[in-house]
Amino acid sequence: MKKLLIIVLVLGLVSCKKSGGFLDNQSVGITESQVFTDSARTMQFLIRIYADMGFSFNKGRWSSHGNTELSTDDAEYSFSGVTQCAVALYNGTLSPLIYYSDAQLTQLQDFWNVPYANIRRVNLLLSKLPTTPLSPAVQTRVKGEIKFLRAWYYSQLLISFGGVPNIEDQVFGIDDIINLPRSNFGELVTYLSKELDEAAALLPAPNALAPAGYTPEDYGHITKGACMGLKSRILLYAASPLFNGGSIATDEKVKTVVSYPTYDVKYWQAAADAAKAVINSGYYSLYEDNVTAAGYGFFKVFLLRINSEYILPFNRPANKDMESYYNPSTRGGSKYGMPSENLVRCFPMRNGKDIADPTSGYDPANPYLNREPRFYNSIIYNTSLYWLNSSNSKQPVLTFEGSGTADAFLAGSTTGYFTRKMCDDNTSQGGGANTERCWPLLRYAEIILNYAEAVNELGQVELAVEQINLLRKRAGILPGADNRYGIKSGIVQADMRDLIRNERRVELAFEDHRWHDIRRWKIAVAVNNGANTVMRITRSGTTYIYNPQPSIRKHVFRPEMYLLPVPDQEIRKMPLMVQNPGW
Amino acid sequence: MKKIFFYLLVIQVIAVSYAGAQSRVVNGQVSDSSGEAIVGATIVEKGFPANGTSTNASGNFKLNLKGTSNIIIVTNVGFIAREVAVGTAANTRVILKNAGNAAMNEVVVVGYGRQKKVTLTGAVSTVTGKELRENPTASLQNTLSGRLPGFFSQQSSGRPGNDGATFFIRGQSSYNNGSNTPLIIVDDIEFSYDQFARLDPNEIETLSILKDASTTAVYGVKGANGVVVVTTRRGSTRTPQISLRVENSLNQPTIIPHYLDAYETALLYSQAEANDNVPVISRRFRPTELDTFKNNLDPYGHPNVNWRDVLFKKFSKQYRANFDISGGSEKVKYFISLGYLNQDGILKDYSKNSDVRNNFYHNRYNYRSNLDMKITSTTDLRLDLFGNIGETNTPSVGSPFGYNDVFYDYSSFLTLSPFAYPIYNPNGTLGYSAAQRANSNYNTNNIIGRLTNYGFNRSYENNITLNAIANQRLDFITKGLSVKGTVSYASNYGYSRSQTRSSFPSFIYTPSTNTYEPRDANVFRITRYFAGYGAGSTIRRTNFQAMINYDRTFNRHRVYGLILMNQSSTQQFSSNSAYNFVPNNFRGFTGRAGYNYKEKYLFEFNAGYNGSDLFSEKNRYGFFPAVSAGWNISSEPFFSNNIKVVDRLKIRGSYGLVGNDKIGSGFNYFYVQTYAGSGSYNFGNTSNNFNGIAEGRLPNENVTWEKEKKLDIGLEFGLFKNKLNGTVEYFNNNRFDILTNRGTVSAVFGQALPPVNLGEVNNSGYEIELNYAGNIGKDFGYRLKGTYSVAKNKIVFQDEPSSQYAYQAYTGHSIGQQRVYQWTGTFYKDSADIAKSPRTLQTALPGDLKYEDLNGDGLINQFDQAVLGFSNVPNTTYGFQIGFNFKGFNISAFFQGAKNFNVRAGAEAIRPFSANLTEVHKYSWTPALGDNAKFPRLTLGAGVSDPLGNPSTFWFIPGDYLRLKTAEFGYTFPKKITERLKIQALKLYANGYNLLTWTKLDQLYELDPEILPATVNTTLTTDRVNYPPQRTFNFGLSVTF
Repeated sequence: MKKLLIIVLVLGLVSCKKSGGFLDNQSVGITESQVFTDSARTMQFLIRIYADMGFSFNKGRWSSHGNTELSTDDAEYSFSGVTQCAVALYNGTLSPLIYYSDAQLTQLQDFWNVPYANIRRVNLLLSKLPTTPLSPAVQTRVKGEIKFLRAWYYSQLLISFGGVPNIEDQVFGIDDIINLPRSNFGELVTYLSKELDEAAALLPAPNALAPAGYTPEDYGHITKGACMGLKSRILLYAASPLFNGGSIATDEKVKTVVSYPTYDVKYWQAAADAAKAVINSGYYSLYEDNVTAAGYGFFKVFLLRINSEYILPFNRPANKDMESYYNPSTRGGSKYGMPSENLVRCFPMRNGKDIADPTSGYDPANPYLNREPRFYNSIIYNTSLYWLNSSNSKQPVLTFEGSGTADAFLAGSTTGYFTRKMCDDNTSQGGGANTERCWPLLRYAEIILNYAEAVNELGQVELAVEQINLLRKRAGILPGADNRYGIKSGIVQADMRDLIRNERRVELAFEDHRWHDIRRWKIAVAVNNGANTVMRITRSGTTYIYNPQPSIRKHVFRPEMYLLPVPDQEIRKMPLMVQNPGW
Repeated sequence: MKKIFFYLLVIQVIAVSYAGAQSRVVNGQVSDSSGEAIVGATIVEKGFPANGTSTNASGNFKLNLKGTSNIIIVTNVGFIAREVAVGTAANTRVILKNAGNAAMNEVVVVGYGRQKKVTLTGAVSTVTGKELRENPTASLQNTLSGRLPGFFSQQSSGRPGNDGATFFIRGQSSYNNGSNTPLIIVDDIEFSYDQFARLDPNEIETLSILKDASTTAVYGVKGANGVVVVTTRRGSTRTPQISLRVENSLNQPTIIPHYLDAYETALLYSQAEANDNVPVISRRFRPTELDTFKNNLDPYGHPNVNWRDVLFKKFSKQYRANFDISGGSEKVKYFISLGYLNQDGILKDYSKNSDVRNNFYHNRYNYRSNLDMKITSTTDLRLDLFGNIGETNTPSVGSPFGYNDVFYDYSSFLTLSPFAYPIYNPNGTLGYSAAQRANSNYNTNNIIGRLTNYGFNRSYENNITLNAIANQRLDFITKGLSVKGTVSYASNYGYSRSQTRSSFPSFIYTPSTNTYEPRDANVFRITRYFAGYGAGSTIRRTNFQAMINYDRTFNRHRVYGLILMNQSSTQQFSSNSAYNFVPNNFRGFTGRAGYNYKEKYLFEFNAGYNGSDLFSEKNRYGFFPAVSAGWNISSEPFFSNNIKVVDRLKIRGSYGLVGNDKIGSGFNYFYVQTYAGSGSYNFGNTSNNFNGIAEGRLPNENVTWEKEKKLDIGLEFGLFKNKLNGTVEYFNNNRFDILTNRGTVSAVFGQALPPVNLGEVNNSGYEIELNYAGNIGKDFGYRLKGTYSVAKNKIVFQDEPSSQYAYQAYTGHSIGQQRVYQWTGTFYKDSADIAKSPRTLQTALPGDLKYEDLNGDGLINQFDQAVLGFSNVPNTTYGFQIGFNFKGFNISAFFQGAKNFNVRAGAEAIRPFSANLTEVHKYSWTPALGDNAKFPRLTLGAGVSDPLGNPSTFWFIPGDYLRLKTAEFGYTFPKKITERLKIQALKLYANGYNLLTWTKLDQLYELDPEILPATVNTTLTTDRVNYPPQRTFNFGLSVTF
């Protein structure tokens, strides 16, 4: 009896243990096979790769505010704390360890991590694609799209770091030991242009109609044109002074990793050809409208979801993105990226002449008079009009010191200016309609500037002038009697180079170019050191007095900063990697 | 599970019928002279030394007599043995007289049972409920540090409802956050940290911490961080006793920084501008304005507000009342308790007139009903129902950057400088200033207006637990055998409500023109309130336990053991939809076998065999054994005959393996990979949003528990007739298989990798506890107690990528140590000094901190930061308790200290002009002060010396402190008076908490030394003042009827 009881008891305990699956996985997450055996989920996987495309352009890239434009001579921040990523890029504290030195600064790792995370996604999808239930035609198209996207993310790495590990189609597994060397710069450029050529061959032209092209519902997917456009950008970067024999590296091996070790004019030719290919394709044109108002096309193009100029739009629902980022406080915006006086001075006069030109007609006591239309479409300056929702009309923004508004110099504005570019000045963050618009990740104006820059380096100065004048015409600059839009005749290559660079700065301001451009031109030490100039305006009676003065935000740019330091731990983890020169 | 209870039922029925078949059975209870049951007393029939038993947890025994003498011999260590003639009564009561040796008969609570301290082979420290009730703070754990050797805590906040210290047993052994929290067991049921803090001390009988392998192995996979075991008070067989305790306290922050006034602040602001080479013309304050501040000539245009006085009360109130009733008969015993606690906030009540209570406060109601029922002579049933209802209020403040904390405003210079704005204008309206309005990120309206109008956020919680425990003695099978079944259900529900608004008018007054301008022309009235509701989540936990117990004494041999099955299931909300209300299941088997001979040679084996759904099938179960042994040397004749000074000496040791399943934060299966929704993108000529899917973290099928090998050696002794008692303990714990995020896999991999079991941390130290009790004459008694605990940990391996410089490696250092610049102790003198010093990344200016160039490359950059100082958790804590009683009076004081930890502050806690300025900023570097300065040069920017951007040892201050943690003065009325009042006992007392603090922190910071939370973080700083821990003065009255 006793023994029986014990046996029963023990059996009871044991039976509890075996009662089915008490400790089994009961989560309801989806698995890899559920994703890639389902066409809708496979396409959702593709969408995730698109979603990061604008990470660098994003004005809220770090801490939901700020990106690289605030580290340049173009703009100032409303924050100045040392743990703001944009501040760390300009104040001299940049180092291979900065990525880990503060919880906020870890966001700087996005330069490195976001591209590689998406490259893995591409490779994973590429490996699964043949087994997915997508139709062969869609499979081909998706293959083209993700090859482009992979090249896009690599191009972000290339311009920031030089040559980086090229993992091609590999998908690493948990047991893989990864110790990869950095790809040589030249090899990576060759790889990317080959990939883009292949992707272009798989993708429809932007103007093709369904079934050969995309249906209206698919607008926004990568096109052949985008592949050609990105190739133009990569080859132009590769031909630039920083990468074309201009590395500061002393070690030959490092030099090859981060650049073409010796200058060769053929790289400029390749860049020119790639840009020319886009131009010749006829897919794109500048969006021009000088009828509604001078330079209206330059204003309007940024407010159109679909336009003739965008090669790679970052598609957004109807939004107030730009108003939210850039509007002054009185309009409810967060005023990131307040333009510097340095940038303001780059805008020519209406006649196309530089303000430093004594014949330009520039009046320092009345600096905002008679500037070219892009100035009025890009900058909010003292007394300029902007939509004020409470009065249901455009009202002046007062940035002079002591204006009593939240926009006053030092109170709201650190530079005396706010950004207007890409904003719809008939609405504001504080109220008004949303705008159907995309972010311009790559647009035709850039291709024209790429072409002008390359042909100028090839000595074809007048061909470059022609290109620049296409932009100046669209901008609403007066052609002048000589039809040269303010460019003096007989301009020499060196002057033309400065002019192209200035034109690029003005045309592409706030489009995620300046930080890259001043580095690849190797001019950042000259232009991004010391302090930006800000415009302090005071009022005496009814007269405004303009006192440009240095900003309190001090920039330190040393030659090694032309390339970002590779995060130190990446070097530690992969001993085959080499650090960028000077770090 | 149901099956078990069916079997139990069957057994019960059989047992009842079977028991009647015995010829002569003696039932009884053994207690001491105060009526407390004695556990483990030995009962032997006279003339039949092999026929014996021992008393169970409630002091009861049962013995079948074989002879005819009808005499039993009752013995227990520390008591005078008695021979008792068994009469005809059904129940024999035996009262043993104390042999005057308290330490010998102490019973300690261990996992799933009790042990006499003398036969214990493990490391356990205990405090009694009585001691806990000397703690007037709202959270139970706040005075344990220093009282319990091996208990380490940090109380970083005093906010009502949130003032519980985080604590560890024997320090930290894992560098995973959240992986160091001890297991908390209340009446054999697992509790969460929050539930524990909410316990009412009035309900507690004892609180023990289990520290070594032998005591924690029974908890197997949950035991590696040590275990806190709480038993609650239960009824005993006596006439009903009613106790009432009422306490009123005054709370005051231990420290709130005193900020400089407007004149001094403005003066230092100008000094900073001068340091930054701002031309005089462009400076914020003209020299005449400084005079205006100094002489307070313009209270509206140039206000000088002491916000400390404006915002905070001198004292906040706390009220606590407890009521309990206990008693019982043979059949039913009960303990029923009710408790109420109200903690008020420190803010002045500006909202009084707006009919809304928006101060901080915390209300809590605790209830408990513990019932013990004797169903049959061999069956006991326990029914416990308890819980609490809580309500915690925080004011809605609308501070910048979403802090929503009035202490942020108080510490922020940019939000609330002494000259920010006048509180009220001459016409009585709320004041503001143009300068503050222009300061866009910090333009947050008048703080008094906000405190008056902005309303509150209030959270509610409701914890309820039900335990049902049946115990069946199976002496008919074999003596000393019993089975026990437990069912427990706990539910924890919370929700929140808010009533807030966001605007009201305030005005900027211009004295020169006597005009008022609204701060915001669009706000002309106070907006209406918005009601908010946040549905909280329910945490439900069910727990089943079935246990077979065996405990029998054969003559001089005692054999005992248990087998336990334990199964629990927890369901709760998860923001990750894949895990939302997915049960988190656990199942474990536990075994214990013990033997001792004459209570002299002690052996015990404990083991846990546990399974958890956190792991894949092949790694699901783990086995955790521990062995321990002890030797009561003082019981040996050769010792006791020769050494008279030493009354008691025991040496013991244990070694074993224990696990930890608190791996990473939250509940998820590391062994499966989940794809989840992530990101979205728009396509189409007309915008159409599509959601994305992303690959989740890779799976690690081999993931398993953290494990720890624990070694413990202890020495217990009693000297001078046991007046001096003590324990010395050494431990060495090796935690391994710590889940670690691979530090050596490059981001080029492109996907988050699962944590892998490969970390290793060594944690070793020692504890000393000394007690001395004595008396002078008849009426004057005194007690002294001291503890000293050290626990030092060292990271042995954490897959850290090899550092370029050895001094940068975290491996080899303590968990939580930080990488900082080493300050040389000097400041840059002048430009010549800067020119000849190593170059800094940012431009150094005279008065900046000078750092060591550790790698000697002539450049100060992050490669010169070394892992330095201590972590944020003290590695040493100590306490000293002293108590006297004279006639009815008692006085006690308890000092507690902690050593070897660092505090680092930044931003609004110290950085000038982010933070408001304190006294130390007056001694900022100037050429005249030179290296005698206490602070680097003042600047409006963030330069080389910045505490956040360039952390250095300058900002790293040892937080070492010593506190008068609690003190009590009480008077118990003599029996003569109480008898006349028809009450049993009456006591009046006053006690206090955190009464005095001595700290090294004040050389730089005006902060409480415990300000940093005890989390694992290698960049931990405190960035502002938060609600400081409280100093409490408490007055109480306790009556027993």
